[in-house]
Amino acid sequence: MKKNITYLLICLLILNGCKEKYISPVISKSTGYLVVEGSINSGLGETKIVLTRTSSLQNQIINYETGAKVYVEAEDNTAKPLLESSPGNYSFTGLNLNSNQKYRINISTSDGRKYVSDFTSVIYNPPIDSVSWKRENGDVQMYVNTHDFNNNTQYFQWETAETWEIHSGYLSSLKYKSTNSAKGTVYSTVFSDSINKSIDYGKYFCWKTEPSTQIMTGATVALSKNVINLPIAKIPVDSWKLNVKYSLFTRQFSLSKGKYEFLQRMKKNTEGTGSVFDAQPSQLNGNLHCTNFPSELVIGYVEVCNVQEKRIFINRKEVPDWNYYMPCSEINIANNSDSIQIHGLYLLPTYPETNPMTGAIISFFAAPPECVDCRLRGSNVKPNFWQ
Amino acid sequence: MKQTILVFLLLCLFKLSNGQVDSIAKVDINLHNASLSELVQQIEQQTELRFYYDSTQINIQSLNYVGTKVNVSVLLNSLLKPENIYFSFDLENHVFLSKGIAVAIVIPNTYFSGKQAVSSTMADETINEIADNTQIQASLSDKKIYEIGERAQASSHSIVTMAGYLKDIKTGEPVAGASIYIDKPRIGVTTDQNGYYSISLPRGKHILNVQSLGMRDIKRQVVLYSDGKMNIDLTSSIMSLKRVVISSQKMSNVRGAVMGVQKLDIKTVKQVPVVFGEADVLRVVTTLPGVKTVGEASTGLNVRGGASDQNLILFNDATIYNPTHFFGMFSAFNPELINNIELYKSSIPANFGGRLSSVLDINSREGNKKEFTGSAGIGLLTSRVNIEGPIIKDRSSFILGGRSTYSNWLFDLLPDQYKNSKANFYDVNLIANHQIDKNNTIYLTTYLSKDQFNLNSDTAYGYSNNNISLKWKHIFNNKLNALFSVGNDQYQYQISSQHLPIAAYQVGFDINQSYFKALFNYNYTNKHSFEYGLSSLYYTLHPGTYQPLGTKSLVTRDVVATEQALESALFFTDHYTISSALKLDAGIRLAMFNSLGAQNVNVYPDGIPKTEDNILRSVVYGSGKIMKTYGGPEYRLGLRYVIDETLSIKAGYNTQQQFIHSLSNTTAMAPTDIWKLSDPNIKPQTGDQISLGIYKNLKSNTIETSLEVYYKNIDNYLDYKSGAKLVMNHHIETDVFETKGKAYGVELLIKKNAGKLNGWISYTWSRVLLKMNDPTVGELINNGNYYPSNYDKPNDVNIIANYRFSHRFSISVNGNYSTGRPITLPIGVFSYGGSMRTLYADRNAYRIPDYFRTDFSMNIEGNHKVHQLTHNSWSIGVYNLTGRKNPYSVYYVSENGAVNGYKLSIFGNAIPYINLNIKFK
Repeated sequence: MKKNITYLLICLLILNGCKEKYISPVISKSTGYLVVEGSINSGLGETKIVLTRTSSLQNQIINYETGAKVYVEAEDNTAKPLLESSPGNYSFTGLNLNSNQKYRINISTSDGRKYVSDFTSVIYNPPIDSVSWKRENGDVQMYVNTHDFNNNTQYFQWETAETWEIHSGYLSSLKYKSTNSAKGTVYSTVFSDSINKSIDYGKYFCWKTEPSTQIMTGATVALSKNVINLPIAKIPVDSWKLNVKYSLFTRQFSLSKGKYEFLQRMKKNTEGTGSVFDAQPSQLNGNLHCTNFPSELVIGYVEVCNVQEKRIFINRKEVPDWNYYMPCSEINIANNSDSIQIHGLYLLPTYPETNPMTGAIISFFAAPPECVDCRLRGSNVKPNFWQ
Repeated sequence: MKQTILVFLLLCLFKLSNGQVDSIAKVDINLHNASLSELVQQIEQQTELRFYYDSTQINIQSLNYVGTKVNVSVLLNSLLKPENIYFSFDLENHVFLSKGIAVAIVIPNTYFSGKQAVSSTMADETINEIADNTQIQASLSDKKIYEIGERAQASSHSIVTMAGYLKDIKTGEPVAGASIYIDKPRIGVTTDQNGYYSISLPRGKHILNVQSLGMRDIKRQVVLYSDGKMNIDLTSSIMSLKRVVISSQKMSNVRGAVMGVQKLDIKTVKQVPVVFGEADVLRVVTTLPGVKTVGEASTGLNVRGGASDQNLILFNDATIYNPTHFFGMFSAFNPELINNIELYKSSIPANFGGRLSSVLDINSREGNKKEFTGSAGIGLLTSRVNIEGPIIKDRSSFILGGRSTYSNWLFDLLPDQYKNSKANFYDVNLIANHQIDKNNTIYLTTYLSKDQFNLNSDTAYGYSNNNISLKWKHIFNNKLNALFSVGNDQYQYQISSQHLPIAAYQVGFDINQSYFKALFNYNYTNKHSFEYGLSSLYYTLHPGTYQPLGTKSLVTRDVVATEQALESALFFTDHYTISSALKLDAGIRLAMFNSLGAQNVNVYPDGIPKTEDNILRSVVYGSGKIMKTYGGPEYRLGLRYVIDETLSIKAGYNTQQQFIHSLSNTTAMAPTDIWKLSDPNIKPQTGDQISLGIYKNLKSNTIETSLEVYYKNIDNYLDYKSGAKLVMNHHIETDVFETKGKAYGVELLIKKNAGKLNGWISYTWSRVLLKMNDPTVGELINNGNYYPSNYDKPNDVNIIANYRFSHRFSISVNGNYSTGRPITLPIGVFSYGGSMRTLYADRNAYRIPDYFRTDFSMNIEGNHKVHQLTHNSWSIGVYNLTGRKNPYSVYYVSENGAVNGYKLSIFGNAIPYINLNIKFK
């Protein structure tokens, strides 16, 4: 609300150019505090803890903390190690924890510092009822629906990942071939599959996955029923994400009030800024501590719950009047090195015109690369969940 | 940019040096059987003086005079008096000669008393216009000797008291803040807001001087025998003689014992260029020394390092909790109804209390008691209409004013997402007064302001102020009068959202206060006058009501318990004139605050921070039960020592308590801020201030200068824990903690009130530092060291200049430079939740870039013929002339996975405006 007012005020009074990029004249020192992200999954799914270090404002890179020893510890002193599956990512699938025990995370970094979280009990997490969607001002707005009439849990967090199928603008059976000779490089266009002369579908079907970049939380404390119906993701009207088929994967975590407030604070500090009535940025005190250097700042809040998951698909056919078209056009180029060098090098070949007698390519059509090779926009490896 | 300011300053100083009267110039004269024109020619050649007279009526021949270095006044006196010709000077070196019965051109200097001038045909057409009957009557009374009291009664007292009202002869409105004084011995008083005065003088003959801002100066010859009454009618100097006005203010600048008070009349306010051309009292107040604001989207004032909730904003004694429209863009006071504004920032009179930093006392006009008049104004965003007139002629009058906006056209210029937005606001005032008899007058003020805002039709937002006050002024006798007031003030806001049907809600807040105040003025002797009384204020505050909206909503109704309290005070001030040079204002205010039930009060253990987890128990108090009493004496001391007529020094010491706090963890004063009463867990804020000032008037009092220094302590100022929840919090004490603050600074003001060029330059150097170093209260901020507050802007320069080319055309320029306000910048970034995010540490360790802005406006008046139905005037201007994108804030936000820094300005361009004002009868 406040933010909207601000934008309004800004738009009102400025109509242009009131918001400018700002580069801080202050060179921030490299802080290097440990950042612990993730939750302990008490169920059969994957527990993933990501360890990074803070970096300076000028140099925004993710510094993964590698070589640490990470354990999930129970109050009865039993512990299970997480394994570093990729740099800084420590995971274990199928912890299957006892919901009557309390657990914590225990981290020993390679520089000898030890960090633990507070012991927390397993927080009940109800299954996701559904992820529904409807059209709102043309956009496709998705909602997560959950309920817990036993009132075990009133605070939630969701993480989403969007995946969508990409088709190229044109089918292609051709590729460029270059040979070096004394006169320099000589170009020609040839069939990708010289035997079958078939279409190369590896450049036509692709998929792209993007995890959410926002912190999404919800609380039912103000409601009479413990029911969640919250917007969770949106496909803007006529977006390319729904050109063919779209899928949203939702992971739901149940939280304590403490972690909910921790995430809200982080969200306010980093996503809710820019209004005329901004709150003071606040410090992020989580539930992790450095045991051998108690004054050291650690960012993170680790809790235990049974992570719930839900995947939905939306087909373009289900969404009428979705007006996304790739702005693509083709030109015809003669299949000789000079023509290719002048007209074709910034394009990709699609379809040939052949000599009916010899089958040789006389000329061919070509279009901008992103219209021809979908790998420029995604990956051509079909995700295993794709239907 | 610094050079620009310097050049501007120099230019102003240069211009200010003009405009002194040349009446005491010395000339060499050699006349033999000469005519008047030869005399005039000789004087005009040697001085700046220019003569105006009707040569068909005044024609002297055979003047003889030889002399060197002759004082012009002496010369004219000796040559013209025998011919029954009078002369008078004005401040701009014009000399008016006249014959026969005299009409006064107001003369600033007593030297010329007794010499009158007839306004016959003179060069300036406007002089003609003022020469109506009232004028002649008024000036005739200058010569008359008034006998006060009964000669036979000539009492044994050597001191007698005279009292009465000062009124505008044309409209019947009282003249407030006028000074009435005699020169020998120097005794003076000022009229109260109802135009009433009471002065104790030695028996005998006196020349009474009356001066008031915007009025022609007047002298009365009085002979005092015993106590008596005298009402004095003043003539406003609106049109032609503006230049001759000498404000009473400059006199009080040097003479009053109160320091750190700034007074502005509405004419000054209207000259200052403002955004969208809406004359805005609060914006102009921010140009005064010692007053700051965090930025352009906020009319929240920070006076001498105080927070924006530490100002008591009074409109005719009614407390206005939210004095803004449109999220702080405009102030909610209709400029057409306001008479003057007084800002007390140092010596706050003992009859005011309850806020730490300042009292902003906004006084309305009274309606015209003689005839019906009105005015209307049309601007880009708002329009206003005012009607005033007598209810019973000469005894009662009313004034009704309203403003409304039609800003919705602006939304059509915006991107689609705002197309459905709507903003509306209005304010309505009805002010009436009735004189029951000469000793009893009643005054009624009602005020209503309302803002409504619909953001893309799913979130509705609104707030409103409702105020009513009734005052009764009773004069017991010449020495004692009283003002009784009762009233009720309300402020409320609500937000509602229907975007998600199951979570559709409405949240509301309101505050309601009823008060009674009795203020007595007792003019005990000419050495002591007392001001005393009592006040009581009953608060009912609903901190939050959260309820479902619509049938689908699952929102549970949640109500934060109602807060109630009684704030009472006894106050007494002695205005003690120790000698003609030394004056003391000694005031004491005994304030008491009772926090009342019904409520459940949580009890927390001592010595550790209050949190939800360590609530020991909850104590239930019944309705009306006193839960906690705070209070104590507050001291208000002011001392003035006059070194000479134009130079004085003053000192002040002040203590304050504040029992109501606004809860806001935003830097600007936000419309969603709520208020909280002190209770057993929230202590009152306290503050004390010591200040010292030196005051000097220059150039026949047309230029006033002052230099003030102050040092201030603030205790128990509320700050917020990280992630504090302020709305719908049933135990707010767990989210706040108390901090200490200190503020100090130097304020310099140079002000020119008269002449073609007028205006002021103010410079403030000040610091405001806060400290939170008590680990038993909450987390330390900046390791317990002092850190600058959000509005700590050490250097602040304001220039307001108005130059009048003619009676119909003037231009105004406004310049402002200040240090950028402190902000908290991130010290690093980290990755979390799929995005890079900022890490913050020390609060307010950096500053946004400096602020600089200039505004310009032209004021064009229509013709000045008295007898016409409407008078029109235009004001045309440009806000932020240089189009500088002044940063309002700098912030970092995580967008699409990366952290980006932005600089936000409220006004990115020069903003032109035009305003039409119409006055009608």
